[in-house]
Amino acid sequence: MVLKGCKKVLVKGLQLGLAMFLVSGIMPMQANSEPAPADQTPAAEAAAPAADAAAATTAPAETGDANIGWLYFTGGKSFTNGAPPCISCHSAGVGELGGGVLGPNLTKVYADESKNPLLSSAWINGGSPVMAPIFSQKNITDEEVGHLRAFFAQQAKTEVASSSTGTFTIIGLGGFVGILIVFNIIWSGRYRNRNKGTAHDALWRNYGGKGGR
Amino acid sequence: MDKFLFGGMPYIFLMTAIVGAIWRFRSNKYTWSSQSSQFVENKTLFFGSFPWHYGIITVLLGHILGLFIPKSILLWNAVPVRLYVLELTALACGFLALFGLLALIYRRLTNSRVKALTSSWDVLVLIVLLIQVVTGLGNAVLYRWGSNWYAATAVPWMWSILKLNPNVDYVANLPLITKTHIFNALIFIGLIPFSRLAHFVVLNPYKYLVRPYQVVRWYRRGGPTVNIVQYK
Repeated sequence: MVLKGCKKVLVKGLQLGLAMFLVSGIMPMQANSEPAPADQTPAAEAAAPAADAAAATTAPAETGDANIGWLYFTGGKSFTNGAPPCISCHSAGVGELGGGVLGPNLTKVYADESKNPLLSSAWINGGSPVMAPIFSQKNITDEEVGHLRAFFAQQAKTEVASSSTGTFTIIGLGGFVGILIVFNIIWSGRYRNRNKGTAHDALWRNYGGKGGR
Repeated sequence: MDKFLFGGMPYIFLMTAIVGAIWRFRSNKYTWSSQSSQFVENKTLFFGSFPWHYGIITVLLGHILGLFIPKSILLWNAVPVRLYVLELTALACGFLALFGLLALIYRRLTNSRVKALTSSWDVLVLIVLLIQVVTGLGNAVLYRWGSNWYAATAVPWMWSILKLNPNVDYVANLPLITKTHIFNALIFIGLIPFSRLAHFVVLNPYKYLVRPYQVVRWYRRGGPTVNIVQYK
């Protein structure tokens, strides 16, 4: 009886938790569709000291706003023509688990003289075999690239983050074990109860748990 | 080659699925199910089938949602933490599905009674599903963040197929694991009408999903089944 009561409380708690998670997810989604103020952007916070030190050398070269570029990179601000955000496939020192790894890491792309010219709308919209089919349909504008260039100029001063593949996999495995534990708590005895008094129950005991082998 | 694999083959597999489904439904609609082997072995089936179905249905629903509302998926992923939550949940469910599938394969390989009932179609289905889950996990881990670029590459490709104007360029330059995952999904669709995968096409979702568990019961006119233990 007590156990059943505990289970009910647990299930209710999980439902409440899920609902709160969804609500907490939707609220910032609306807030983030607007450009964040410069001092609220995590990338800006992380890169602020470096930016102060080297602002004189690179910042004036780029007319875009690095904070807006950060939003374009993560998808916090959508590209005018609906192109997917850069974080889908690229890393640039953003987020605890980094960006995507389908494409190259762009943390130092601005500082690399051979690759810097590729940060242009012409190349993004038509230069890469993987990106061209997508971006040729959903062009990125020069203004948007300007903001992204300012963002990459800022990120180029940070260190390239180490790969988070291992961390991601381990957390995923932890989640898998967690799901098994939660299911076990919610439905403990489901197998036993389902088979109680049936042929399976009897067969199982009859064959000493060998399942008839 | 890509044009053939991702521009022509999808139609062949889709047509096979549609024509095959009509043929099977007209010729023997009572076989439109996954033939139960619960009676010959129950325990491993339960602990394999349960994680497999919870894992794969969650992941599959994610794929279907992405097909219909890709922009909403991208909007959700616009904050890195939310992107990580989505990806990690999908990865955990992927591991859940793999765990269940391996248990089911183990059951088929080791239990002589189940083995005797296993058809070639069952073996083929398990191989296709294993390839699908392993390549899916490979995509999730090695080519992050799949939920984002799926919405930008595979989804427009799928819509181009459905609109009868295939644009192979969207997927032609993706990594080999991804292309294997996509092509194997096409094989999966083609296999649906001819195998136990038929139950995947739920004709009446409401009834199917909320029906009681299918339990094969012993005929009990003579008393409780527990009696058979005494013959041991």
